[in-house]
Amino acid sequence: MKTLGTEELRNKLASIQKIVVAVDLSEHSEATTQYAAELAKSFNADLYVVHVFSPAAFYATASEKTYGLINEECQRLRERLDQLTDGVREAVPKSEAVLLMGDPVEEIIATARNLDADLIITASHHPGFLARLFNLDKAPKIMHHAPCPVLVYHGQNR
Amino acid sequence: MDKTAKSLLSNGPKTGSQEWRFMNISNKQSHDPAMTVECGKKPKVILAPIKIADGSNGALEFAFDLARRWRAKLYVLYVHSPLPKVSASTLIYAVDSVDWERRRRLIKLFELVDKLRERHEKVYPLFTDNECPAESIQDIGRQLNADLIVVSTHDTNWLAQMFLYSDSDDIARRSSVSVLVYRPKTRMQSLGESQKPTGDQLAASDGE
Repeated sequence: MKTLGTEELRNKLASIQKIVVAVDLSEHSEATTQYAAELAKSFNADLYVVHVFSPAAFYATASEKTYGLINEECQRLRERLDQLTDGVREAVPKSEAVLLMGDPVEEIIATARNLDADLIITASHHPGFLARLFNLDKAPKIMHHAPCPVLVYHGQNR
Repeated sequence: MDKTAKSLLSNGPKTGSQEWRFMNISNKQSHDPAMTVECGKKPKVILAPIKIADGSNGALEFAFDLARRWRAKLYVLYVHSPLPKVSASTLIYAVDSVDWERRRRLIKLFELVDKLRERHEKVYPLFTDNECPAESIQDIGRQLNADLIVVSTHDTNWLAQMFLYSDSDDIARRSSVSVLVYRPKTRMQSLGESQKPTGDQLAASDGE
């Protein structure tokens, strides 16, 4: 009879190998990323820190300078995202920053699918009805369309 | 079934708050403030409400696996709705069956927890009566100082998402505790036709 070793037994437990943490690069993002890093560390999982830039506001006032502004903004976001990812790289060496453009929910879902992610972590800062009506809070939408479990981090509220 | 369950059953039904307090006291030793988990640490207290949506068994298994991996305490919570949805004329006949059903579910909860305890000793049952499961789960999560609530979800259409929403949604939105909304992982093979590359896209990639 074959006996399971400790490692095999551990693998039989909830296996989380890839974690996507979706951040909006607000002041709360650091705490969310740290939390995700702790989880990734405990599972020895890969961590993808994802931010989706929606340049819709730029397109509304399209002019010659629009593309320049978008590039500048992308550069700024890239630096912030890299900074965030570098902050957790010590704990999770296999962490990667991913900057995308488009609709945040669609892009996060697509990224999770493409990566075959096991967990999406996001934070919720707008719990009210109006926020839901005006689509400010992306967490519920992610929750409904995600291809895997979603962890909504509320740590900053505690 | 353990002694706590037997004493609860022999004493007859109590109100949800009394019962909840009773079970909380029985686990009081393990509730020292030092166990409070700070932001960025591994969860040490997990709350897993069951039967709030179809497929909650998957969520419980997931929560159980997490608890084992992190050596965390797992509270398995069942929120019992005290009154059945029946007409006034049949209510008098329903009272007995409600009481019976309540006991039956309590026993099932303890049996389930006993089974889980064989593999991880830090599993505790919680049973409460409340008509609003979402509110009750959030309250208990706060009282336990839980680090994570694991709930399951089921798909609803956009109208329901906008106005009605499920208990899982409500908990995830309003809770002050982090919430893991469990859904079975969709594999790449199960992608819909819309996400598969179209003929034009394939042709474009061939030409590159």
